[in-house]
Amino acid sequence: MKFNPILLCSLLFLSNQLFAQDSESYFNYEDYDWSETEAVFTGEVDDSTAALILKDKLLYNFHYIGEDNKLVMDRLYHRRVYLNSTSALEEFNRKYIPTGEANELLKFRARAITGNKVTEIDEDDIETGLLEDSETEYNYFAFQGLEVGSIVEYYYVNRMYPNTKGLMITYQEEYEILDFQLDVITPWNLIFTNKVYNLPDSVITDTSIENQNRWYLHTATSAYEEESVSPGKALMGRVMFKLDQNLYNGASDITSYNYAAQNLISFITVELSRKGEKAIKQEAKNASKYLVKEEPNLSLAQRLEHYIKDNYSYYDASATQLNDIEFIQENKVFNSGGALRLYTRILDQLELDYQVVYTTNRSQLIFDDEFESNKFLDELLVYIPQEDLYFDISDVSSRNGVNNFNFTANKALFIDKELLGEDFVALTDVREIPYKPASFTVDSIKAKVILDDAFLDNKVNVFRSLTGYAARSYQGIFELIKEEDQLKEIEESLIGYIDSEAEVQDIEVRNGKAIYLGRKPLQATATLTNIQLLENAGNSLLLNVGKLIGPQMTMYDEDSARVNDIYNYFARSYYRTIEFEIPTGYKLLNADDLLFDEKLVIDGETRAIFKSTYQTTGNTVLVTISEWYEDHIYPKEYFEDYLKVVNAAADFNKVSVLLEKES
Amino acid sequence: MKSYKLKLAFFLFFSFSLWGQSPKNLSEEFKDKSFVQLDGQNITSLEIVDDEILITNKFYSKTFVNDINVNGRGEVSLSYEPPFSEITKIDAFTLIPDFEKDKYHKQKVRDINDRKIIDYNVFHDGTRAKSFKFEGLVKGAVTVLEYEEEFREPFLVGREIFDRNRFSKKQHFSLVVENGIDINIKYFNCDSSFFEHWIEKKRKETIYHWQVSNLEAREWEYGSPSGLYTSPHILYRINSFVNSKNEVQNVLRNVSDLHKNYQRFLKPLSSPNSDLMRLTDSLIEDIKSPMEKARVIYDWVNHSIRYIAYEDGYGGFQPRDANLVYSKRYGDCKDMGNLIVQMMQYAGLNAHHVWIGTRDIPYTYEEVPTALADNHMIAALKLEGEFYFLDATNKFLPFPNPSSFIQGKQALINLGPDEFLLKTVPTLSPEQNAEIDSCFLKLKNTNLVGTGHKHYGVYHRSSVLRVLERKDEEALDAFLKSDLEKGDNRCKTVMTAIQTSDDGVNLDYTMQLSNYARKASDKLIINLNLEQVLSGNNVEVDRKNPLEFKNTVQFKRYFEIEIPEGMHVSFLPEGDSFGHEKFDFELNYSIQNNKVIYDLEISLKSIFIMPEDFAEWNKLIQKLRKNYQQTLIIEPNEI
Repeated sequence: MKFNPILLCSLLFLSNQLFAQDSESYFNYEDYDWSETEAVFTGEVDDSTAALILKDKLLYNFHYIGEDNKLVMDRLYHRRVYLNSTSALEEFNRKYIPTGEANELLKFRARAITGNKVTEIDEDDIETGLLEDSETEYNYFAFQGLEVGSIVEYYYVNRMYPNTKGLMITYQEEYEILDFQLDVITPWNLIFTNKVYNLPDSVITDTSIENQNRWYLHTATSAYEEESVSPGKALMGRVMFKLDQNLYNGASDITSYNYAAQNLISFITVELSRKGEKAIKQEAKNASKYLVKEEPNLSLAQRLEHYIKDNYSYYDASATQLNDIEFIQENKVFNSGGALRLYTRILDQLELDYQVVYTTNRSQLIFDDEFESNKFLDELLVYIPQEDLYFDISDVSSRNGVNNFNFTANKALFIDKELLGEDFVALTDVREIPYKPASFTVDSIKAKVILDDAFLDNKVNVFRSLTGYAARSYQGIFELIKEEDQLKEIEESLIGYIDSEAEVQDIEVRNGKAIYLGRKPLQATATLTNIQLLENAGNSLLLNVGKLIGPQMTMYDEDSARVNDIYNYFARSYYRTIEFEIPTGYKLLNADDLLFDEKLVIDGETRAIFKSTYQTTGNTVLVTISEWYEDHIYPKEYFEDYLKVVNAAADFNKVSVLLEKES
Repeated sequence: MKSYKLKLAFFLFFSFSLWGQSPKNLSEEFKDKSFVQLDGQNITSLEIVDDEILITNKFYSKTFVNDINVNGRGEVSLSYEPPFSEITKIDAFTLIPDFEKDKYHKQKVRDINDRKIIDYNVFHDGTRAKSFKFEGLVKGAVTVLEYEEEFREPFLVGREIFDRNRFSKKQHFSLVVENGIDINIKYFNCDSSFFEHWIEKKRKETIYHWQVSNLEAREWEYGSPSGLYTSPHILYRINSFVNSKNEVQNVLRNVSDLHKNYQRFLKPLSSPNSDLMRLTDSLIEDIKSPMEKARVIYDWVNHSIRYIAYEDGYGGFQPRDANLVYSKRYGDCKDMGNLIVQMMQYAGLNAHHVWIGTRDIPYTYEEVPTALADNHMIAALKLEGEFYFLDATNKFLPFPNPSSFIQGKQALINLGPDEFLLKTVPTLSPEQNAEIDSCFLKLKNTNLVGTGHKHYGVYHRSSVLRVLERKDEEALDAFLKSDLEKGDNRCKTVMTAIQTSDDGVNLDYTMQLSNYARKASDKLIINLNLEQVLSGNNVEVDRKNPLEFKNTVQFKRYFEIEIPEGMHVSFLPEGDSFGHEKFDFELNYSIQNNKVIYDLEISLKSIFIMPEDFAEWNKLIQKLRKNYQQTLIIEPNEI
């Protein structure tokens, strides 16, 4: 997750409103310990299991401390792991425990249990340091005396800033967890709500405690098995908590999208210094003039996006300076909060309507419109309704609405603002960012095979054209690459990917600029030489026609039992033509091997296809191949049909035709 | 003339101030480059202080940054390691461009933090870092950094590498040697003519200068050996110095001095305690053969001690007590090496500590008798006149083979406080690393079905065993899929048996390759090059660096296909071969009884393929690729 300066502000604001109550606590970290009697594990472990999580206990204790009744969150993490393989020994034999100012370490114990021998880590075994490029301090140590069959056990309690607005715990992972325990404890007045995702568990409310609230989940989870074409992380078992009410002051619906939206609007409409105002005016002027001569057809909003992305850079860091307009303009750098301020203030200056959009990356976490948690307010976009255009303000390679596809087919919080008296108020709406159709992302190839008279020096002239997401990873970055060799290598890969062993000659790339992304197709022409196109079969020749569609994803080894639906990353189309001449003195056999026709049909409508045909004119053979995938999700019942389409492309890739020497 | 240059160098170092370059000039001059070192200097002084050598490096670098991605960044971390070195006198600032006025303004670095850095690979060492940030870094800025680094351990110095990972407009190295210090200088991948080189003798010191201009960035290419094989660099060492009593004190004149110096790390080592003795006794119980005793001890250490390195200060050189390593069950190379030595010596075997450099370090000890020649410690076992080099850090490495990354390297074997031996670690033959895949197949319609057997030699067996130890069915399937796949990715293989031995791993499997034979009229056309080994290994014609392999290897592919009843082979491709002292192949097709036999053998006999070999190497690849395009034809018998 990216650093989110805007939401952090709101959290500070809230926690100061809370008020303390004296009471005896359900959880006191000083009293917590592991069980001596449970140290040795006597159960049986299947030999095929590398590691087994015997216990994962997480406890979040929200409580007030000090004279100013500051709300804090004590987090207990207690884990016992049975190591049943040498690879698990390597994985678990060392441990890094966060400590330092933001993660004050209150208590910590760790031990290795081998047979009946228990070796506890003592203070002398612990080192402290910082990770490179990180401000987080860690205590770290290595467990002693470990063998296959050992158990490592540790627990620690950190006191942290309270996470009340979206506490997400993912409790399914690579290994089976025999005993998972989760507790969330809060003072009497703070009422949390929760939601479990992707597993049929539910959180239980403990009504037996006075002056405190406790919610708990006690379960066991199987190891997570990720399926192909599915958003692995997004489908793992998880639970989310958030603060909903403060009974002391009667506040309710505390964690809500409306609340977050209002914070955001306050953040972007903050009063600027005179220098800041001047900077915005100057940049609005610069943006409106940007590339006017070179690209007269750009809209003002597009001009703004290109101006900022060509001149500023994004830095995922928390420094407050990166939110400050003056600093941003002077240093040409911002974080997401700073970027948002810069974009929105310039848009205000230019009098262009916009909405700020919060969503998630759907491959990690799918936006929930019902359980309103700040965890879903992770990715920031700016939307220009008049042009139906989204800016991904932190990604320089996203332009003209061709953004990370994981932000589409996902719901999002749209935030508008309205002046009410002297203050701006937020207007919110949750709706989906539309999935782009297959026609948005088109990858076309026109290949013409030129066979040498002696069949030794054969080559293929290739024209390739890319649009949409297929073009983004090229058009979006070409200008960022300074080194000539590196640039050439990437350009050549546009054609060279067809056969990694062939050589790319005379590459020419058109529209290789970020400004053209989504506006003009990226086009490349080149000749492939030294390509293994022919096989010798006695006097005859095998021409590897299928090779010219490039390497294909294969799904030959899929289990037929499918658990999840089929998730396409993005809709896409491939159109290819392959032309070749039948050499004089040869005849074409088995041309019908080039014919494929596989479809995925839902309710009588084709939703994905791989189809190839050919036609012969004189000695010229023209093969035409169409392939496309339209939907974001295909129901799992169609998995077999989906496999047929995907594997048809993979099968076509292996097709060769026989050119038989005429006697 | 020489004297003038010297003054200029010092002048630049100490008094950077007014500077004529403007942002527009620099941006224009270096528009095609992301980073340029405008000026780089290192003035290293060797002095005698309290009858010890003090080494001080004064670094200065001025870098032009021309990349929009640097905006706002500029974090710098200068690593040092107490007690060996200390970094002081950091002076750093950014020259921030004002393109409108076409001038720079200076922004000094404010806060410098000193912190302990965690290195996941080493686990724990004494490395600390002084970190700071160049403020106001934007495209077009210049960073200027000066600092000093002091060393008090002569065995850890000294090397100056001239090519950088960026274009260098100027790079200057000065070595200031106090009178009374005798030094040795060696050039690697260059000679003195590569530089502008001059020497100046002063009353109390001699100053050696080397300077290069307009040096291109070091180019990394896939499969390149470490930069030390190609980068022009200088190594200097201190032979001796005259102390306050006017006596000549030897430092590192030769290997003997280095060996003596290293004795301090071996002196405090204790022999096995009762627990370790008991373990060793239990391992060698009833074993008579010294070789077998050595094997069980090596295997135990190899399997039972996990690699976790503690390299804090002198702990980076000092093996930890064997008894402690045994009880903790972890250690680094020197800990495992020492544990093997202690256990073997207790078992009555002739085992010794060994210092060695991995292949990343191209020097022999005779060339460089300092700690720059090594970075690793292992054990050597002498049996029946032969030395075996035992490295327990390399899991699944079968006894008594050396790890692949020290093959061909010179080992410094400790035979006693005053006795050592230099010996080259042998390189395993391609046959020992053979990767042999044999398949016995039948045609069923257009499918190829049958059984296979694959042997993985000494260094390749760990790739299989590593996957097996994960106990992850999916990972194993993926490994087998990619490693046993034949023909194309429709191939399905199922492992049926596995045997592990000292010379490798043997896998038995069944395979089915669907729709592989091409059918045209009544002919079946089959490409028997079911694996096209090395076909993608052409090297670029303009490649500069040698190509390095982990080890020598022999690839053997033996495929038998039964000719279906009622059919015959109407076309069988011809065999072929290619010979070279470092690589060769031989391919044969034959028909025996009712079977077509394909027999391919490729040998890579050298770990390095040098640029002068590339033309021949590419011929080998081209020839292989041509052969991989040959198919055989099976037709029905005429009735």
